[in-house]
Amino acid sequence: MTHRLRRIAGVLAASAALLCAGSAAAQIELEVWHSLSQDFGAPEFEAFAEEFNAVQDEIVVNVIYTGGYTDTLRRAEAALASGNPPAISMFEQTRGAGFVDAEAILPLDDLIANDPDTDRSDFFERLLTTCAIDGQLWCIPYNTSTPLIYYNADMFRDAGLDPETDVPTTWDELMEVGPAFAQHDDGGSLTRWAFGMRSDPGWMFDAWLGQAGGSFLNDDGDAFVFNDDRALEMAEFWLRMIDEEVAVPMGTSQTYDEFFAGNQAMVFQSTALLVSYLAQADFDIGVAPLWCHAECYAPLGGANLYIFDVGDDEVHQAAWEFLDFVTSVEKGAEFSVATGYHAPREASLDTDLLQARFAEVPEARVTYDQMALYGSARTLVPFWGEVHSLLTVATEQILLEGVDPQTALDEAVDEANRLLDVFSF
Amino acid sequence: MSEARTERRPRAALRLPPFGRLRRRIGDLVTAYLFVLPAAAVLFTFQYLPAIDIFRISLTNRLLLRPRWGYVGLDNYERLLNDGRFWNSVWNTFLFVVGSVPLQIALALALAIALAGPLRRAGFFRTVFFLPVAASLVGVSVIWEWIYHPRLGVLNELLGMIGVQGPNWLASSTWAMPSIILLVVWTGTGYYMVIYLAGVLDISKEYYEAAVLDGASRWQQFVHVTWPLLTPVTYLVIVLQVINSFQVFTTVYVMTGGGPARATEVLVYYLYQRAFESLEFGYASAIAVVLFLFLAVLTVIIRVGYGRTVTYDR
Repeated sequence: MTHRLRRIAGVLAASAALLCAGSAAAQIELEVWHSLSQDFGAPEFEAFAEEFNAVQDEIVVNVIYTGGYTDTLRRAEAALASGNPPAISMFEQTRGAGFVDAEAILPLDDLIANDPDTDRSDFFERLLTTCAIDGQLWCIPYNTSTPLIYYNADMFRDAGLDPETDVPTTWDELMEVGPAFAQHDDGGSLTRWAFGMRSDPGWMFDAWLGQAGGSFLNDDGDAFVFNDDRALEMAEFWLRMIDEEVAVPMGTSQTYDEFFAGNQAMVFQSTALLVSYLAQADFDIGVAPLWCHAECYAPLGGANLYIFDVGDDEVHQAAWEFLDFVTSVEKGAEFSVATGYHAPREASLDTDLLQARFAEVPEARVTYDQMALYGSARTLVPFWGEVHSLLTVATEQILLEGVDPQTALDEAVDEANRLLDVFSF
Repeated sequence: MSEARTERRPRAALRLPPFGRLRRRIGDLVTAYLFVLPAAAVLFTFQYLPAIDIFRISLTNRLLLRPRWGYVGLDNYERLLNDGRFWNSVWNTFLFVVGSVPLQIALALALAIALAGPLRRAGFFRTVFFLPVAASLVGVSVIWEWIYHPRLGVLNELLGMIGVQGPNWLASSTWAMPSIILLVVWTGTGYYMVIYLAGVLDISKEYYEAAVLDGASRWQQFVHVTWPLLTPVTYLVIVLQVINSFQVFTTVYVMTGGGPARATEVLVYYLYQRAFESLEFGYASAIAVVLFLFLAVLTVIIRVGYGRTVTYDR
């Protein structure tokens, strides 16, 4: 009897060992959510993932396009609420903080420190700031961008200006050359003008505010201050631009329409649109860095890749290996050439691929120079979506409704500070 | 199958003793409930349970993604009372309902009467007017953004031909709401037209013949025959429209984002902002509960105020 029992135990132990061996050899499957549409790097990103699956056999990544930034955000919120988040997700610059606040994201500091082949300093330092919250690194920069000034060189010439030298580099220069573009119809309304002033400014609010020398939060990060003197100077300048017919206030999409219709000499747009804009314009189009005032300032846009904390070190390690792979020097350069986004690592700049690209399309380099000099991370608070809409309302009030700038900004700051308080418990 | 059963049943029931009849009735009831069960289960799980849960969440300070939260009693409701933005959104919703519901009813009814007549190619026109209902609201909104474009849009181009300088429709706090109402009327009227069309075609010709014999004019026929006999349809249309209008969201989301300067921030849009942008899920839930109460009260008012006057033909 004992003999038989022992034999059974032996068989059981053997099969258990086999089972364990089987699971150890089993592949780790990772779901990766992203927001890259067809013209914004989806083919490249998907090809990278296929290559990753082919060159090793321990990890299988399954790349899923989850819609635009907002769609992906909503989907991830729902997935998190139901306790089933993906291994990796892409979040727009201002959206990752909500998941960090929810304690759903894995800090990457240890994973990078333990990786013998990758060092923090491989990445552009300024891009890493977009992932830094409370002294830890929560994501890896991926498809990042800065806004640029796209200008219609033909309109500059028509206005008697030289597109090589007269594209404004400061607020003051804008006010000097701007009036030269103004043309009116018989009724006296403007038919041509220098610049489209966005009444729903989005990340351009960051740019204006930074250029004025202001900031959203105070140095301690415990109060919003975008109603101070710097912010007021910015708002007064907007009104002056409109008053002196340098700019016309309008919705964002209208600024693009008027630019391509040949009515407006300059427009703000992301470097991510570079390829499509150069192809789309039926006039001589040029690209310049943003203008400066008290400071030079360019907000960093686009998105980053986050690893969800699923409590499984193996999965986390596998996810990191995929991030390491898609942000490699070569892949980064390839992605940048295809899209106009920045490569995540500095060494990509030295690749033949990017050097050849810069030689062929010098405009592709503008964002790198701008980012390296004064690209700045957005404000990383979990409720940025609401602050974003507060900024829109304040700007609309100032530009379209004739509300006094101080009143409009005070109202937005009060509500933003209320939310800061709500989230500080 | 059911016919065969109803045929057999009376005979069988006669022969059964009282106790057997009761058993039979209980059996029928159980069968009926079994048939209702799947639908009821789905409704309960996906409609009622979440609705009840929303009420529970409205009593908490829950933030959308934060794992920890606590009960705060009626704090969220108290905050609602003093929230200027909430009352602004109630006012905007009211403007939207008042602007769109009567217009849609009048248009839908007029179209239905026109297309119920012996018009040539009426079928073609019915399709034309119904088509916007079948179109994707997001797509339609994007197209209409172009129509409303202040300088490059068709609408201002047409106004320019008659010498009128059109406003910047969606960027003006005066014109943004009318612009949205116009779009919603365009997309929604076809749906109510079809309901009215069924009602108009349902009215017996005899009434009109009698009215004509009495010398009634076309207008008198409408006032004394068509309109009264359509009251059940109108009642249905009003209730549907008010409920739909109170929940207007998509067009606002796509076209104005509640702007400019909150001039088109309607109730559901404000709720969405609170739930998914400022992430105040508890507070957003309180807004949802209040919206539900508004709708319930309004439906009762419509029922008492208008439902009583409904005339049924048969």
